Amino acid sequence: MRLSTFSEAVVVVLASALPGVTPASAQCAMCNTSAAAGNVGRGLSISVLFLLGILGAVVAWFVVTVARSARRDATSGGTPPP
Amino acid sequence: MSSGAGHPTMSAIHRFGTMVFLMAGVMFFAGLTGAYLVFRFSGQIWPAPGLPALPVGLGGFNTLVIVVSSLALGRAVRAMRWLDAAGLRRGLTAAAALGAAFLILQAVQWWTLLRHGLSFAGTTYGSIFYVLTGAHAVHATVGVLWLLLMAWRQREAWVSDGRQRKVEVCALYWHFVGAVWVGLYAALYLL
Repeated sequence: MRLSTFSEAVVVVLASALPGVTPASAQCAMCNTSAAAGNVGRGLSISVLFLLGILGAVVAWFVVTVARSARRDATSGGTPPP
Repeated sequence: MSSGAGHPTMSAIHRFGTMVFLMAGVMFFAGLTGAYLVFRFSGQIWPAPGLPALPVGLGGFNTLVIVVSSLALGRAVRAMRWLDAAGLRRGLTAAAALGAAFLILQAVQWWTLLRHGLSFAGTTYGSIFYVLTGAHAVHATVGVLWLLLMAWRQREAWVSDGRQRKVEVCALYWHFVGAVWVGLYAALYLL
C-alpha cells in the first residue's frame, strides 16, 4: 500500500468516527474532579501518561516502518502499473 | 533481504509480522505496569509497613543474566549469518542456559519473598508483584523452551534458509523478553 493511500485511509476512518462524538456530561466532569483529587489522582495521571508514552512509541514504530517501506519501494521503482 | 555478508536472512514480511505480534505483548505488559503505577503512586507508603522490600541486588543480578543471555543469542545470530552451524548451536544453548538460570533465580526470589510474608493474596503489593513477574516468567519459559528446541534441531553442519528465519523470529522474541524484564526491573525495584 502506498503511503498516501494509507494516510487517506486513516483520515477517512477518523472522520467517520467524528459524528459519534458526544460532549462530556456533567457526571463525567464530577468523576474527573473526584479522581483527580488526592493521591489516587496522582497515580492515575502517572499511569495514563506512561500508557500514552508506550502507545506513542508503538505508533511511531509503525509509522516509521511504513514510511521506510514506502521509501524503499519508491527507490527501487515500485510495482509496475497494471 | 540480505545481510552484509550476502547471505539470505529474515524477510521484511517475517520481521514485520513478528514485530506486530510483539507489540501486542508490549501493550499487554504496559497495561499491567500501568495498573501497578496506579497502586504505586496512590499509596502513601510503598510497600505497606510489615511487608518486605524487594531484593534489589538479586533482581539486578538477574537482569544482568538475561541481558547476557540476549547478547549470547546476538552472537548466535551473527554466527548463523556466516553459516557457522556450530557457533549457532553454541550460542542458542548458552542463551537457553542463561534463560533457565534467570528462571531459577526468579523462583528463588519468589520463595524468599513468600517466606518473608509477601503472599499473592491479601495485599495489592504482593498481588501486582507476582502477577507482573509471573506473566513475564511464563513468557521467559516459552522463550527458553523455544531456544532449546532451536538448538536441538540444529544438528546439521549447515544452516538452511528456513532455519535462519525461525532462529531470527525466536531471537526477536527473546530480545523482547529481555527488554520487558529491564523495564519491569526499573519499575518494580528501582521506582
